[in-house]
Amino acid sequence: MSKKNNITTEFGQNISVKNANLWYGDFQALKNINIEIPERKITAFIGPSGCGKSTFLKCFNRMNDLVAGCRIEGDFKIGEVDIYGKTDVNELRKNVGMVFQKPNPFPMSVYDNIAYGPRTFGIHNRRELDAIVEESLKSAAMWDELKDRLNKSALGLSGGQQQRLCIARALSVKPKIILMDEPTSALDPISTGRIEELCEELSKNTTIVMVTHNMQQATRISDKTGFFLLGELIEFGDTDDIFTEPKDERTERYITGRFG
Amino acid sequence: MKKIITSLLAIVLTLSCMLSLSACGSTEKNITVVVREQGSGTREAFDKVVTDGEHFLEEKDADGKKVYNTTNTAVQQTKTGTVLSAVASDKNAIGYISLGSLNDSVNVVSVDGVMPSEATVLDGTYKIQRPFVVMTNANVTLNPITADFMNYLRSADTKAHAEAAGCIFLEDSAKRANEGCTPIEVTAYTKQASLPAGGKIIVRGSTSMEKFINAAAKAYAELYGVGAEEIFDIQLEGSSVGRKAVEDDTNGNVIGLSSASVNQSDITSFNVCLDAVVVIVHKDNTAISNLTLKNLYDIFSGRITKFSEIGE
Amino acid sequence: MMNKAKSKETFGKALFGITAVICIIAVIAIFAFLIIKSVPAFNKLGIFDFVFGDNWSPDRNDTFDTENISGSYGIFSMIVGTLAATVGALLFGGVLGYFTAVFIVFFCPKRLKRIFSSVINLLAGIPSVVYGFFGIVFLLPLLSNIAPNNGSGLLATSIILGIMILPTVVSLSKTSIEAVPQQYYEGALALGSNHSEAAFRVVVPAAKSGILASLVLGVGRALGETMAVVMVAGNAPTYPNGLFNSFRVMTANIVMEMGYAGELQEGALIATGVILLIFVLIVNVVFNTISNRSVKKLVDISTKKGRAKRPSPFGAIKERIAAIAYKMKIISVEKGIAIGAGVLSGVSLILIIGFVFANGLPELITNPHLLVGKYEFGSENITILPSIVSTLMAVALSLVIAVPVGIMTAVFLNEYTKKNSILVKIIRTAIDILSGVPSIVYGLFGMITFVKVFGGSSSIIAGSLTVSIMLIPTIVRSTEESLKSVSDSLREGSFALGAGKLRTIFKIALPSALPGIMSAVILSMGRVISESAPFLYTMGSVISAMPTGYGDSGATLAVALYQLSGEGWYLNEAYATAVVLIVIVLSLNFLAEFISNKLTRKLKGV
Repeated sequence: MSKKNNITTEFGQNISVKNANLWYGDFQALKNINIEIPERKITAFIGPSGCGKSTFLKCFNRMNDLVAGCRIEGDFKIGEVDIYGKTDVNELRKNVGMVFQKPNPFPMSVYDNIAYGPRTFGIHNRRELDAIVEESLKSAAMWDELKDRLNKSALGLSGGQQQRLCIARALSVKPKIILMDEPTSALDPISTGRIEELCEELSKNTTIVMVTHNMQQATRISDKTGFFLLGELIEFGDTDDIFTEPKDERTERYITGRFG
Repeated sequence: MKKIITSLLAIVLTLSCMLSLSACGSTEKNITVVVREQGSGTREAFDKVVTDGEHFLEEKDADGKKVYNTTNTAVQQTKTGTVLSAVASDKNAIGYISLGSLNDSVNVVSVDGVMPSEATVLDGTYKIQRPFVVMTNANVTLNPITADFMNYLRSADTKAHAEAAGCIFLEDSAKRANEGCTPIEVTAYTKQASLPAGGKIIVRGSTSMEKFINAAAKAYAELYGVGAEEIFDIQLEGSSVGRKAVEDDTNGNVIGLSSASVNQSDITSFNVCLDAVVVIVHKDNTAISNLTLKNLYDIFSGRITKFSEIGE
Repeated sequence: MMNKAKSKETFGKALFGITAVICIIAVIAIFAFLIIKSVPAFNKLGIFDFVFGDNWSPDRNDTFDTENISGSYGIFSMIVGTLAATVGALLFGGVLGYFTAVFIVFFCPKRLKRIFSSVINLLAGIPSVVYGFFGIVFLLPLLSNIAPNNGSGLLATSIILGIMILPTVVSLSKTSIEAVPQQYYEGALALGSNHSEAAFRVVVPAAKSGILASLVLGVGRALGETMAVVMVAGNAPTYPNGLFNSFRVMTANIVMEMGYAGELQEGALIATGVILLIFVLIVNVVFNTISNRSVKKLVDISTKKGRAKRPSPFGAIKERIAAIAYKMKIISVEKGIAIGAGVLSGVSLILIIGFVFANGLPELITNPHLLVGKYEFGSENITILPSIVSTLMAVALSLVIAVPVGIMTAVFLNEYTKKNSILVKIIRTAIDILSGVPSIVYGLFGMITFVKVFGGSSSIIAGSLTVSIMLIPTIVRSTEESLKSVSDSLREGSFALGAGKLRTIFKIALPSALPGIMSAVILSMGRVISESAPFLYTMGSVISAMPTGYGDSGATLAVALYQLSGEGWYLNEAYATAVVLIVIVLSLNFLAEFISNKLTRKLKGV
């Protein structure tokens, strides 16, 4: 319980990164990145495969810690909290939710999937859990679809449903920020549309940082866009500006489809 | 389902812990009763003699059902040697083996005040005794070498082997046969001109007769200037195994050894020696030097579980 | 020209067909034998009285024709004993194995991980007599300090059986935990779980069916185990009343008495084998159901429609327990247990091998007579050289019989028959069942068939035939597996070049399947060397002279160890024999892995 109470106020919703460098062994995957991600907006990272955008995204909830030989330098701050400082990594991940490229609902019931997060942080009151499940599913606009099959396995859902369930699951611990790593790349256009709508809805209260390969997606929903190339953040600004009048030639070549 | 299994396991564990704790309660250790397996001639001889005056360790009840009264907690050993080592290594153990297999690693207990010896066995005062029996199949013709070795075993030449093996050679021709049968004389053995044909002689049966048969086989082989292992295949696993091997013999090359009397129509047999079954305890267990048949029955049936209870 | 080729093809097909038929006859023969030989006993004794009677006092003079039998033949106490020992084994080996698997996957330092896994796998190859021997020389003396008796009984049996099923449980659980997609783990971390929580609350539950299946397989092994149990259980035909009371399991009943059983007694022992087989079959069915379901289960946990949308009434209680568990920081306890289990498994393995080697190696060095000496008749200065020779003779003959028959049957089943033919399915099921039959049942079969055929006394040939029948199912199965993994496109390619079926089999299918077949053959060698139960009454049980031919009897090394370990006088020799046995079996296991790796690489052209 203590975990839950004392930090919720500390994490802000904006991300501020200064001089970030990251190596996988000898390979430098991120080069001197500076960025200010505003709160309660949708920020999209675009760029060719292997440019480091996903790697950068995973720095925000320290999932890169799992990678052997990964070394990170620089200041990463969420609100006022230095996330590579003395922060409890689990507390960080509670506040910075993540949705993965491939939907990864646990092999449990829908209910247990969503209750997993709260349970991890000590909520075991049935009524409280019921409320959280309902609220999360409602926020993900899935309550009506799923309220009658809460006890069914989450793996029986369609791909799009699974991904939205994962978003609902991420919402269950009331994160300040949600990271999305190409959340729609495995989905059909209709499911993609649903998720985009959902993102826009969520961005009213939550900061969303999304990696996408789909430039239309970025233009459709994001407020800010960052273009990555070979580990560098080439350009970062309002989405409209980036796509209409990019400052860097490389950005222009990329968005017009001439390389990448 | 998994939950049910888990809880069942938990119950079993708790129960068994309680049982074991209650078993650990007292300080004097229980007697370790060491017995032979049910197919053993030694066991049969012991079980049929040891009595509390009313029951025997092995008996038939009113319906003709076989009943074994040996305690369930007894440790079963399948060889003379293993009984000996089990008793020699356990201060609270008691067991029984053949007189001939006795060595000084254990103490012998007298029974009803009589120590086992050649004299006490022959005059019958030592009660727990049995014959050593040599058997062949009655329905097959023995091959030359097996028949010849049987002649050797029937002869007076085996007396030395019996003595070497620590058992009592039977000269009384009436006692050499089963009760009421034609007496079997001790004959003289004449060496054949050359080793008879027939390949290996297969010997199966009582582990108590190991010393005897080894001595006899070795001497017989020496007569013909061959190694015993070249003409004998000896595997001793208990009297009943020997009886079964003889019954199953189709080649006429099996000799069975039994350390309990045999009276079967399909088996030709004679008693070659007498043997005592001696009761043994650990070397340090000097407090127990004599037991009555009733004491033995009480111990081996589990009525008495501690040496201190004897005689109460 | 065409005709010649065609007749060659026909001949080949006929040959494969005939071996398959032989193999099938052997399969049928065992079932027929068990049924024919046990039915009169069941009839005479009454199935109910036999299964639920608890008095076992056989009389070897009872026959099927005896009017009033004087023996009593009830095996209920042994059924209970078998089940108790199995549950005990699960308590030790199952729990330990489960946590050890979790330890290896999640908490083991990376460097140790591979070593640890292969050591656990090697343990599976150690002969059961070695475990029994370890029980006699180490565990029983240790337990006798707290036991009212010499230590034998349920506790000792459970511990030894538990260690024996450990490798099975660990390797299978480990495989299924490792098969859980990494994304579950990452997903859990992304929600704020720490490493242990992700492991115990998400990944391990996801591998639930696989773990359960591994436990069931462990149960199967514990049920059929014979020699190790015989050596530590005490074997009085009674219920296991407490942890330190002599009791008997079904396999032990067979091995203790089959040597001298009379007609009805023999029937009753075979009937005991049948009951045992039924238990093993149930376990097999459960195992298959679980393995099949594990696939389905990943798709949908509860297929019941219209279940209440709120979880069952147990939900609240479960939640309450979970809350308490959370407060007590159960998760770190679980982590602690896992690490403890890993260490304990490691230690017990090192203990077994170390203890045996520490005692056996000096004896081997100081007493070369033991290994290479000439057998002296009646001498107490024993040598195991004849046993080594007998073992090798048995290995050679049984492989010569089992390998061609097994491979050809597999080829016939896989290459010549239609995939879904009912007959083939039946044969396959029968072979599957046979591979789960406890080895003591083969011993029983061999004793009553082969031993009788060869003059009524045990001989190397009877033992080898017995064990070759035991090997066939394993060889058929693994050959089939290897053949199945050879892609059909290879065969089609060969046919497309105008090659006939025979040529395709010998030049394409079999060579590609060779690594699998080779390792199956080598593991079979290992099995012949480690088995003892099927040899005891078919091949001979006494360390004796150098065999001069297949008609002689002789104890294999494993049987020799069984004999020596009982004889208190030959303990040092027993240690040394155990060392020899372990070394041979483990090197065969290494060899199997090596050859299969090497051949696989060669095939891949690396």
